[in-house]
This record gives sequence, structure tokens and C-alpha cells, in this order.
Amino acid sequence: MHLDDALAWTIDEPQLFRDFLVHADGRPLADVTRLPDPEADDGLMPYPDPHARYGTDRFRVSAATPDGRPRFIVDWTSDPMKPRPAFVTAPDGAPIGELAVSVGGFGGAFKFLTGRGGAGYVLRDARGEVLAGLHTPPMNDPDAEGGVEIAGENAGEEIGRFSVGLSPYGDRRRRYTMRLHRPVPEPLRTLLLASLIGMELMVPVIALPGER
Amino acid sequence: MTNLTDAPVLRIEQRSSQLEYLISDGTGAELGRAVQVAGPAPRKGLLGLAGSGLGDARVVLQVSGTDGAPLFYVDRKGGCPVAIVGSGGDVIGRFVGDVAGTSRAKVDSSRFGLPGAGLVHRLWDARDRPVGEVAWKVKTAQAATALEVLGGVCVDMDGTRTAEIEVQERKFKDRYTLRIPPGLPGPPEPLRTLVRAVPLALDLTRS
Repeated sequence: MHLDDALAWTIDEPQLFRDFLVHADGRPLADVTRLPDPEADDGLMPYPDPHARYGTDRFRVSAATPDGRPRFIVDWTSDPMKPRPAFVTAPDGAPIGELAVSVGGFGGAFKFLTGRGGAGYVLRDARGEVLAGLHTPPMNDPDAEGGVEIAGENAGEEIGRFSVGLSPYGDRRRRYTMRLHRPVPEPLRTLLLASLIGMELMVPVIALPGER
Repeated sequence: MTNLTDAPVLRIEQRSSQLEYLISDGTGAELGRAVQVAGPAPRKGLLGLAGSGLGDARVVLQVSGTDGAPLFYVDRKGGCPVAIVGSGGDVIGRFVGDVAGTSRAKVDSSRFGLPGAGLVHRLWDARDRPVGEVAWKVKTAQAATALEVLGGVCVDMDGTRTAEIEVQERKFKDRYTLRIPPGLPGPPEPLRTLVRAVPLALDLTRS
């Protein structure tokens, strides 16, 4: 079982904040570590900057296979004015695609606000073409599964399902599990691997209003 | 003789508009001081009435005992949890805003459908595991978007009360009284040090 061919995987946040472990059947598929803020500085203090990887403005995480080979980077910048996509790039910075919040129109917004619908996301490739859509479980039934539907040819075909549950590593952490019904081609596969990590990065957890 | 790390009562008084604090026990005997060692100084005098002007800048307080030797640092930067760093430079833990806990506290305190007020922080150890929680007693200040903090209760993750904090917020000279419940050995490390840093960490998030 390898990161490039697993049809099911689970994402946990077992230790440091925003460091993830992608695993399947008890075996690690990838370590996802947060990259330090390039603006971190020691500020003349006798110890390294303790905030280097704790900022809430921008999250950059790098996924590497257990042999240490970097596989992709997810980069999301928080913006209070508008939702920004989480960009997925190759380790050398070449764009692979993005995970963006999709606005579902009046009906979708009504369903979301009443708790009967979940949030919607789209996966776009590097040229901006929509490859797939994801919808999270509705808020009034969080134990239900979310789905992944393909776009383009065979549009609407469900290619996978995912669940969002409580993590065994703490009551403020989540566990994501993805199950694909069939293998999918690149770059959709990498985008699907990155999608749930990007979704988790968008969850505000530690920044209270007034503390920034 | 009690010292800053085992006194059951700590009174922390800000001395001026600057980030300098005198730490004493309940009887007024000095236990130590906290002084700013990095970052821009807050505005003074009339300008200070418009806010400290610190913004998101990194600000570090050094907490030391009566002998002047540093015990720990309280290190704050806008948009990040406040880090509590040991005198040797190792992170002891963090004082973290708890978005989910604060939302729950707001819902729990709402009355007659009116929005409630709440503020909750969590204490993480050096590996980002939660070891404690601080639920603040707050009231909505005159400017309806601001909160006034009146006090707080610190518990460990089993819900055992580890400290009570009384807060007197002033324009400049804030005062905090931290009480460790009697009859207990006190929480184990790192919570023991983190609890003692909570008033200063709160002060820095509100400076």
C-alpha cells in the first residue's frame, strides 16, 4: 500500500498542531508537517522564535512519504474578507491545483444555514478547470458521510465518500477518512489527497477575535 | 520562605502604562517581577489612552524571582498563541484561544435570545496536548464589541480546579490575584508553571 495507490486513507493530527499523519490499515502513507513561517525571527531573545509554526494567517504544510520523499504542499492563507482557496503545489512550487469553497447559490445557502446541507468545495486543476466537487456532511447529521463527485465527462458520478469524526487525539481535533470507489488519474488523485488537509486547515481553532 | 513557584497566592500588579509588573504574595511580600525584554514599548501618557499601539508585534516578558534570575518568559505575537518559555529556552507550553469553547460559553450565557459573552483559553504542553482550560468570567463592556474580564477559573483536563484568578482591569495598571486552592499539592508540571503565567499571558493578549 502506497500513497499513490491507496483507495482509502485516514488523516489524523496526532501530535503537534497542524502536523498530520496520513495512514491506512495502521501503516503510515505520508507525514504532513507544517513549514515554518519565513518571517520568524529570534527578536534578540536567547531562544528560537516559538511562534515560527503557530501563526494563523498562513498555513503551509508539506506532505512526504515515509521514506522522506516530499510529495506535495498545501498552502492556505486566511483572509477575513473572502474565502481563499487552498493551493496545492508540487514540492518545487509548480502548481497542481486548488481546493476552493464553492458557493451553492440561494438554495445551497438556505440548506447550509438551516443545517440540512453541508459545505461545498470544488477541486480545480492548475488551469482552473473543475475536476471534482466535494460536499461535507450536513450539520444536523454530522455522522453522515460526505461525497466526492467528478466533473467533466461522467459529471455527477460519485467517485468516493469521506467521513469527518472525532479524533482519538483530543476533543478539539478531527479525523478524516476518505474511501475512493475506483482509482482516479493525476492530478485529481493528488488533489483528493490534499483536499481533506486543506479543508482542515480552513477550520479556525486557536485564533479568537481580538487576539490578533 | 515562599517563592514565586510555590506560593498559594500571587498578586500581579502592573506598575505603569509600560509592561512592568510586581509579583507579591497575599501579604504584600515581594516574590518577583516581570519586565518587558523584547518588542516595542507601549505608548505612554495621553497617547496610551488610545491603546498601547503594540498591534501584532512580538512582545516578551521575563519573569524573575527576587534574586533576579529568570524563571520563565511569556512570549506573545499577534495571531499566535502566547508561548511560555523556560529560562533555558525550551517551550513549557502555550496559552491558546479556544474558538469552540468560547462559542459554547457564549451560547451557554445567552439569555432571552440575546447574544451572550464568553471567553475560554486552553493551556497546551510543549507537544501541543491540552493540559488545562481557563474559563473567564466576562461582561460586555460599554463598547459592545469589547469584553471586560472579571476573573477566571483554571481547571485541568479532568475538571479539577487548579487556580482561581481575580482580574481588575484598569486603563493602565491592571491587577491580577491568582489563588491555588488550599489542601492540594498543586498541579504537576507543566501546568504548575503555566497556571502562574496565565494572568500575564492574558494581559499580553489584551495589551
